[in-house]
Amino acid sequence: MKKYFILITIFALVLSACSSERELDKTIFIPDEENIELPAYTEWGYNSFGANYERGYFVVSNDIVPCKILYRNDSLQFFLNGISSVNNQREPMTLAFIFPFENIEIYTDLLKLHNTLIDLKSDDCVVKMINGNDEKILEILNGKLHFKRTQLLKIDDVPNRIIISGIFELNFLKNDFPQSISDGRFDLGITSNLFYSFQN
Amino acid sequence: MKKLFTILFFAAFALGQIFAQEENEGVEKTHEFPRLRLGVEAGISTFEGKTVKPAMLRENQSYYPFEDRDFYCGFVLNNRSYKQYYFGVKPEFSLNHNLALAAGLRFLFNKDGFVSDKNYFLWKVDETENSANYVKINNIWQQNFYVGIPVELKIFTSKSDLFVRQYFKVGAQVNFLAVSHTNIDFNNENMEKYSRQINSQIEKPDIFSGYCYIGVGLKIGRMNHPFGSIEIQVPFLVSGKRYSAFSEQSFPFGLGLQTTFFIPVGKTKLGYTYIDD
Repeated sequence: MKKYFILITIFALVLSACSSERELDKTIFIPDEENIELPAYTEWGYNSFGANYERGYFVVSNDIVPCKILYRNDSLQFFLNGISSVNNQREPMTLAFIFPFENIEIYTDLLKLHNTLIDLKSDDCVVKMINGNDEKILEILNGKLHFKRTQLLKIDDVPNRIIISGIFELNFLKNDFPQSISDGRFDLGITSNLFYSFQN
Repeated sequence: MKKLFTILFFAAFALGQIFAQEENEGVEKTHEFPRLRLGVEAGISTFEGKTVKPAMLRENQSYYPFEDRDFYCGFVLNNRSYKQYYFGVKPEFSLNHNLALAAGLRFLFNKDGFVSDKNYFLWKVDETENSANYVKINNIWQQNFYVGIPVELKIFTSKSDLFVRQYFKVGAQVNFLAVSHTNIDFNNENMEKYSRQINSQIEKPDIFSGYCYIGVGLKIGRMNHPFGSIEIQVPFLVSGKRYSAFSEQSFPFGLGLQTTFFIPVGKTKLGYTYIDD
């Protein structure tokens, strides 16, 4: 009987620990006052992003992990995963920004991104658009990715995650057809589960 | 609560009418009683308010304007009623057979708070350019104590001192915030060290507030002996829009219930006629 009690207690403790993490992992969508289809620009780690994509939107979804970051071959790969709704068609979409960046070993090193402006048109920068199995490298006409602020989030004095907030916009050719993503903004909480580093 | 007030309101009218009819059935006698009486009162006033979410509180739920109107980013409902309890002393003086003037001192109390609909909510204690420090809070309660000065004019519908006598009232009250105390229940007791910091981030309600009110009530008992009264009030022209750190005025009318116990004092007397059955 005592064994069962201890097991149940441990199980309850594990469950409560998991649920508290999930609270901060979930997406919180606070609508922009001017365009309620997009999330407002925030710096609270709400795990949300959004942008105008042509006459539709590329926005965060509750069902998809909104961001993953990979460091490999001296480059940082910043993935935004969401839903695109263009021409009344909703489908999962990923936008990947790949650019050279100083060495990042653990997720807390992402603080180095603070106030970093990436010119997406530069030669060493690559932007990919992935729709299902269709992956395309975009020919960038002009664009920028600005990590405006990075913060180490502590909860009850214990480091929990890195909050990355910023803006992005780009004009590009896709299948030789010009398109644009504008007024993009993101506010993401990155933990060790969302950051991967492959050292050479 | 509103239903109860409405029922009492109509009951006051009905009883007043019944006793007014009985007035014509007995023998009229002359009666005297002191013009001055000391009242001890207690009551409650409620106002419609809306939630004010403190700036340092992290949202914990999405807010979709067209879908989740009832949600206010996870913190219960946007609408909340604000309740103010009070007691006080109030000398009342009869000007003539129908009018009585009263003024006094009231001590008012209100408790308002934030209780998370999850296990806790997150409060940003401090931040620098590259760091943010949150603490988990189970709930926050703010207690506000006011000192108020009410001035009231009572208008009795009947000249006779019936055992139950209907009256109307107009009044005004100004309140001064005397003490505001905030109690924070931290999820982790070691975070108590941030209490003072969070207290400084929490806004205080308006220092001065006040309102006018009209009311209808029943006096119960003869006025030459200790007697009581119960009345319904409708406060209006409410000033002081910030009720507490977490709620503000959304509708400039309220509803109140007041009971008073009077003890006749003083030597100056007023003659009344009453019906002796």
